[in-house]
Amino acid sequence: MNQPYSLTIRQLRDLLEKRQTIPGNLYENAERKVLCYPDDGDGGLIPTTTPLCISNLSTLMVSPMGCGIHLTETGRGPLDVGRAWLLRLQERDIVLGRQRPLVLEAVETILAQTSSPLEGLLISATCLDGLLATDYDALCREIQRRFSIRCAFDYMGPLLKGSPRQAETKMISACYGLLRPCSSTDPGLVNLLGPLRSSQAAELNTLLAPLGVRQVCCLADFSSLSAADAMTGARLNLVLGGGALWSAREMQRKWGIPYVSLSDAYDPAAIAAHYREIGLALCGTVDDRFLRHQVAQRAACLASQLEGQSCAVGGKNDVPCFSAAYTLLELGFSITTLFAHHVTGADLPLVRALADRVPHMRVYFDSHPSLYRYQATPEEFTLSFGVPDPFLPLDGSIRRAPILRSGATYGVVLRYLDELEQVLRAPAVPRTLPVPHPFRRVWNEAGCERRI
Amino acid sequence: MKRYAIYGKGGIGKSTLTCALSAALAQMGHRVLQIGCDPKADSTASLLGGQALTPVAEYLRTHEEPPCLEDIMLQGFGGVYCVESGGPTPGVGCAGRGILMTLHLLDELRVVERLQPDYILYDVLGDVVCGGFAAPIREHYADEVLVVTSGEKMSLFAANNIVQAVRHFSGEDYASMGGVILNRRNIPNELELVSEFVQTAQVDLLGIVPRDNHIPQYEQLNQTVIQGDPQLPVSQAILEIARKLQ
Repeated sequence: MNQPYSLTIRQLRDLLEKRQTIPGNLYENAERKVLCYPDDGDGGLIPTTTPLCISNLSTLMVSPMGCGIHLTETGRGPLDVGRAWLLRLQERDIVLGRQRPLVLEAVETILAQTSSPLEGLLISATCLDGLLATDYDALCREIQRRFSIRCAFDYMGPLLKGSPRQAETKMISACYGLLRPCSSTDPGLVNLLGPLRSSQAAELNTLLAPLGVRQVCCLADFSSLSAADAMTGARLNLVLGGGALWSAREMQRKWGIPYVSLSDAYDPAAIAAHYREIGLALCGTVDDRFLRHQVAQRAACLASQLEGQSCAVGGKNDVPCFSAAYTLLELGFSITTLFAHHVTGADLPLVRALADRVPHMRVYFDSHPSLYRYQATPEEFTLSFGVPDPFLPLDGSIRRAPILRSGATYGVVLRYLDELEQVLRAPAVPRTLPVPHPFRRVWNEAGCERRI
Repeated sequence: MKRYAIYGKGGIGKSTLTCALSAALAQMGHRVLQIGCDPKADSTASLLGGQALTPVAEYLRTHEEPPCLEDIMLQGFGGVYCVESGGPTPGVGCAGRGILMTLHLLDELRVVERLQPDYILYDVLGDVVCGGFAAPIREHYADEVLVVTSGEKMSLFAANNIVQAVRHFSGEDYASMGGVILNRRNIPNELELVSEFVQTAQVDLLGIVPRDNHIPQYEQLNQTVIQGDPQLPVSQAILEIARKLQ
């Protein structure tokens, strides 16, 4: 078998700096292996969030058949209160521009079938509509006029600008478009844009209270869409992860709400920088010393358990592997290997920072054909942070660390370190390979599940 | 069976010439199928003598079930079978894809097997602006591409674009260049300009259609000049081109 293609992070830096072609850097020419979600269904990243958290809001997914299935999956989750509808268009409907009558008919159906009053409708269109420039703006205006409900839309497809943004991110972003300006401003209110329910809000509430912030709220904290209009009178928007950045810009333009963009960082220094920026925006100082000290202590405590552990970082679940690797280095991990999906000039600052600290860090490209039969060994690394599953042996000889999800607060980092400690504590006993289940699920042509 | 796709700048006279060629071939005793690949659905009007033909897109917009051949096809002068692809309402949808959808539908209806035409003429809207408009060239629908042009600069520019598009597909088993038809506008040095173009582009000049006011006169009557007066010089020129296509 050929050796899998790789290069060192220093070589990668040099190539990027000279703007030379990186041999193993393939564009997205195949299905991404990194999209190996840890769990099916609601446990995965994509289906866990949905703007359907507001009970009097409904979503209409307008799509061809294939996209429709994807969108159905996207819209499903623990916050789904069952108010998502799917309008399946056929080729001729799209080619002949029949969206308008069909969507209007669909809205009539939704309203007729919905017992409680509906306040807003979010239309999720696919990239096909975006490609053909279907005028959903006009359609939303017509729906608002005709049915007296709020209506907004976004294209869900990854084909368009902003790609590759996940559909769920776009739905979240579009959701803020349904808000209407409230009559008064509330200096005690700060919005957290991006997540619909946030694990970060508790910490933010505590730390921002001395600056006159009464509540840090997410969209799902409101019982109705009109109640959520209070968000338009907020003092500040905090944008988590960048998914709702466009919405924050729109809210600044329309209602003059400033915003601070928080990266998904786990790095305590980056979190501290965020708090400094928030403090400046709120005309004060955020006192985060205690939590920062606590994170430093926990990280130092964990460092003793990390001796002899070499780690690899990959882009599973779309985790940006360069920033994840840098964060882990900051937390005291020894990173020896990276599995990048694609590298661009935008990654250069992080690549430089990594190359300065670990110049011989090995970089693989997870889509490169030479990796198709590759499997890592414990001699290369012993702890995986989001390395795509096909590259890891099934015998448990390489431990799988929890995946870095959105960070941005100390509390999230502390929880992550707890989870990580549990992984490290567990003995690395090679386990027997799982016996394949005698049945596998298939779908017959009629769409009925059967077992063979 | 021979299949031709007729391209050219908008307003250059493609539909007029295509109808006249269909009529000429029919008059020579051939079975001809003309497919209008234009959202305006006005390609076959001069053959139909005022009969109302439902374009495929129009049918699909108003019916849930797919059409049968009789719903979307009429026979015009000389027994020419006429089909219009039509397209979406202006400003929405995708006209190019609409053409491809029509061609696929005709395949499903097994038009060629059922009608057994000797000639199929595709009258295609304007330039080759996207994949849909290239469908007659690309998807084994046409054998040769005919380009209609005058000596005007923009018309030659469009003709050159079409030649380049056909060349672009030259490595594939797609349609090849059949030649150029000069539809005279009587601008100065028109023949020289077009001759220079065909020489530079290395394509054949199939024929020259003189400017003749009989053409619009007969079009007013929903007729081609071939039907109206086959003895006219313009009719003779078109018949001559039709002979070359045999």
